[in-house]
Amino acid sequence: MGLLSLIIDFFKIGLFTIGGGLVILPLLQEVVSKNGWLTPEQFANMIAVSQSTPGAIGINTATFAGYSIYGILGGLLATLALVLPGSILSVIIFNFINLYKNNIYVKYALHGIRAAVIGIILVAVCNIAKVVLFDMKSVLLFGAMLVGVMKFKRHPIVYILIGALTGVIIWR
Amino acid sequence: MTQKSYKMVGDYMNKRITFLQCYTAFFKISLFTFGGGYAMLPMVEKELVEGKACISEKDMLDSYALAQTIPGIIGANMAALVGRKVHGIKGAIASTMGFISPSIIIIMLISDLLIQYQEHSLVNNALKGIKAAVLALLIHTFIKLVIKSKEYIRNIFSGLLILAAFISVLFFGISPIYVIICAAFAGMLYYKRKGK
Repeated sequence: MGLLSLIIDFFKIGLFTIGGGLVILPLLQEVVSKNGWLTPEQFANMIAVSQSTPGAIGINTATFAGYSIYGILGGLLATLALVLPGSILSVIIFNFINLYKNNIYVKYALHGIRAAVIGIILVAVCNIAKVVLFDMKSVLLFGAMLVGVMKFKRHPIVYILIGALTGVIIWR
Repeated sequence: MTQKSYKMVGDYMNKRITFLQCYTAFFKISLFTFGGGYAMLPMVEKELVEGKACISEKDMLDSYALAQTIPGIIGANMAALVGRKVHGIKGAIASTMGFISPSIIIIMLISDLLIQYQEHSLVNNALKGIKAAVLALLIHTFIKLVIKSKEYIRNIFSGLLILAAFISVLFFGISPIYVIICAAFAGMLYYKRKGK
C-alpha cells in the first residue's frame, strides 16, 4: 500500500514538474511532508547530495527520497514513476511532430523554436557563469579550461575530470 | 523544392543505433552531467552528434527545446526524444533507462557516505572545478551550435527572437516553456507572411 502511494505521488510529481530541475523541489517537499516520509534534515541532505552527484538533480532527488523511504525497491520505483509521464508524453509528441514534419506550419514553428532556444541556452550560460566565477582562482581555471576546450577538442569527460582534480588542488 | 527533397533524404540517412548503444550513450551522458539539463548538451554533442553521428545539431536543438516544454525532468525527456528518433520506442525506453541508471546506482551506493562528508571541502572543491569545466564546455557547445545553425538564424527575425528569448528569460524570469511556445507561433506567423 505504501509503495503504491509512493508510485502515485512520484508519477504526479513527474506530471507537474514543468520546466525541469529545481521545480521538483517544492512539489517533493509537499509530498514528503504530507506523508511524513522525510524529516526536514533528511530533505536538506537530499538536496545537497543530489546537487553534488552526477545526473539530473530531479532524478537524483527522486531516487534519494524513494531509497530513504522504502530502500532499493523504493528508489527504483520512485525514479521510474517520476520519469514515466514525461517519457510517454515525449514519445507521443515526437510521433506527432514526425507525422507532420513536412507540414509547412510545423517547419515554420520549428524555425522559430530553434532561434528562441539559442537565446535560452545563452541564459543558462549566464546563470552558470554567475555561480561559477566567484573568485580570481575560478576565473583563471575557467579561462584555462576554455582555452583547453577550444584548442584540444577532447571528450567533455576529460575536462570534467581535470576540473574536479584542479578544484581539489587550488581551493585546498 | 530541391532543397526540401534533399532534407528529406537527409532525415532518412539518420543512422540508427542499437538498443544497447542507446542505453550506454545516455548512461555516459548522465554520468558526466553535473547541473541542469543544459549541462548535458556538450556530452550529447560529443557522443551522439559527433561520435555516433546519429543525430544532427538541429535535432539536438529541437529535442532540447521540446524537452523543456514537456512535463518532467528535461534530461529524461530529452533522452526519450532522442532515443525515439534513433531507435524507435525501444530506443526511447533504453535511452531513458540509461539516463536514470547512474543516478540510481550512485545515490544508493554513496548517499550515506556523502551525507557524512558533505561538510568536507574536498567534494565541494571538486564540484567548483567541475562547474568551471562545465561552463567552458557549454560555451564551446554554444558557439558550435550558433555556427551550425547559421542558416536558420541569419535573418533579422531570428536575431530578434534570440534577443527576445534571452531578455525575457534572463531579466524577466519568464519560463522557457512560454518563450518556446510563443516562438513557435511567431515562427508560423512570420514565415507564413514571408512565404506569400
